[in-house]
Amino acid sequence: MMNLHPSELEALASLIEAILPGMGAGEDLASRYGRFLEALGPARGLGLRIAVRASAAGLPAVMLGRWARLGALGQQEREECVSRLLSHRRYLVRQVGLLLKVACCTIALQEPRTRERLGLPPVARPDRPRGGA
Amino acid sequence: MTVADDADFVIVGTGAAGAAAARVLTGAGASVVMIEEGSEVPAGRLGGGTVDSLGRLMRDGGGQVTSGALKIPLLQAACVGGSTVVNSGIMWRIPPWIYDRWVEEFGLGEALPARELDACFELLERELLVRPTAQDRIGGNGAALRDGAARLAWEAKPTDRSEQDCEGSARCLEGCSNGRRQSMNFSYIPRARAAGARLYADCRVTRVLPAGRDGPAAEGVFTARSGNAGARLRVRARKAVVVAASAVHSPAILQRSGLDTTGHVGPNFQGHPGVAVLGLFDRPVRLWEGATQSYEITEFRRRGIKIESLNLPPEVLAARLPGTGARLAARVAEMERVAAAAIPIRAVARGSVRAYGPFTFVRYAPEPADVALALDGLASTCEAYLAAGARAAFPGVYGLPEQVTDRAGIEALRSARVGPQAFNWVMTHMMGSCRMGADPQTSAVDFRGRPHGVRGVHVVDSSVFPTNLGVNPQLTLMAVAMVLSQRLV
Repeated sequence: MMNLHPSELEALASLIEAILPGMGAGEDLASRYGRFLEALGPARGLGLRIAVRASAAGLPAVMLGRWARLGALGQQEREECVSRLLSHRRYLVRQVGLLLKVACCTIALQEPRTRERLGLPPVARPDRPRGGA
Repeated sequence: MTVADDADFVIVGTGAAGAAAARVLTGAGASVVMIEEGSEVPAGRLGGGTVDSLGRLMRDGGGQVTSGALKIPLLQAACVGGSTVVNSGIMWRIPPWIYDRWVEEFGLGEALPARELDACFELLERELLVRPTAQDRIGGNGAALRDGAARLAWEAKPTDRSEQDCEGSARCLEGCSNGRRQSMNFSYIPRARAAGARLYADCRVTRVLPAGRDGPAAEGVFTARSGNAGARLRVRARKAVVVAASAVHSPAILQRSGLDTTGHVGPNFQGHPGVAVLGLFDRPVRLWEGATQSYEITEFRRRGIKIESLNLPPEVLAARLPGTGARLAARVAEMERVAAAAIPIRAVARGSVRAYGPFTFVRYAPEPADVALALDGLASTCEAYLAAGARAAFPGVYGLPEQVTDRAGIEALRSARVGPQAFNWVMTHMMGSCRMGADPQTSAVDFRGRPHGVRGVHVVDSSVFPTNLGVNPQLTLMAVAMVLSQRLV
């Protein structure tokens, strides 16, 4: 499994809380994030990791003019940060926001408890047989 | 280390076109070697969820995008069976008005005679079990489009798909784990192998060589996923190399091989850029039940708009819902009542494919006419959803109202003035980048699929199409691949 620094997981958790609060930022985050990065491959995975770290560190300054990490903001301010990113007038900035939204939703909704709470079918495990006890 | 092999024919790519070529060539008793850049994923390891399928099946983990100012995801698989593994198996014959244009404007009547195409269509439909989606597999999402179209008296129908006893688990996009959908990994590839074809997976073809002292031949290198990483493969073809690596990668291979003899290998790249609409209903829709793409509105097909139900995986649906934070969380909590439709359009835009070293760049941007078509398609889909009883529809266009709830909103959407950057496009159904024709001044390959002036290398996939189709291209591109392959034996 990929070795992820706690500060990166903290950054990701703060983004998930900003985008999809109360869903999937907790249990087993490292393994879900690691699987997603592996699926993307080395180059695109690295791009996402940079985007996650940079956003968590720099979004409050760029979007709100506040020198703080995303995780240090209140929930309303966090959401405002991401909302401004996603509705930014510059296309490429919005695309970064969209990339983060897709990544956070995908990672968040891999969490079994969140899926169960939302009434979603469980994520299939292809390495296990579909039937049997 | 170099692995050497030889056969009558070497086929580069195992998607719809490559598999169709293998079906014809092995059927004629020829020896065949197939080379595929992606992995061979056994049935038991398909259907493993979005993340798993991105990693195992999709090219670049689903992250292949256009270069240039507009970033459009180019959805292609890279695995044995190609994109047929991750599509919904929707089958359409070439529309007659498109075929007429191919004949009248591009002179393809002799190269692709109607009677030969029809014979291939019939064979393919029979062997690949093409049939309308069963009523009990339409699901809530397909029913939303069906009901809307019925109330508006629009032409619509269950999709014709290639499947047998579909379970309706809405997991086509992850690869069918039970082999019900007749993707090439479950149909023509095993058939070709049973007839003696050999397959090298996890091997990236670096160049193809025309007839001559060293060719025809294909050379490749085994990728990191193989047990033979870094080793080289060289397969000599006694008769021909058949290139079927898609409209993105066939031209790139020809360019790397120095076989762009006309300057027309790469330009004329076309496709069906698509947009999507979500509809919020008061009743359960449950996107995770039913066939992945069970119903389609065909009313506007002649204009280049096709509306298809699309059972997105929940995590992708969540990312498509408007808003963020608490507002998004509230919408995600009611996802059970959200419907989704895709609107691929027959765009007039032309892009280009260009290989630089090992990298391939696709430049593409929809034209203003395409933007107008997309807005028209979005508005019509909103109309269908509202007619079916949706409380709101979400067209997802930047700078326009987030939701449409009434006739005024539909008309405002249809007549909006926005640029291509306002949409979240997704590109599927790519074609045209090695256009077929008689004249080297205007086309890349001749009527047998050979780059003009080249012998022993034949392109047989959708890159030879002179135009896009406006419908799902799998059946047509397989028929074209079969007709061109029949000329080789």
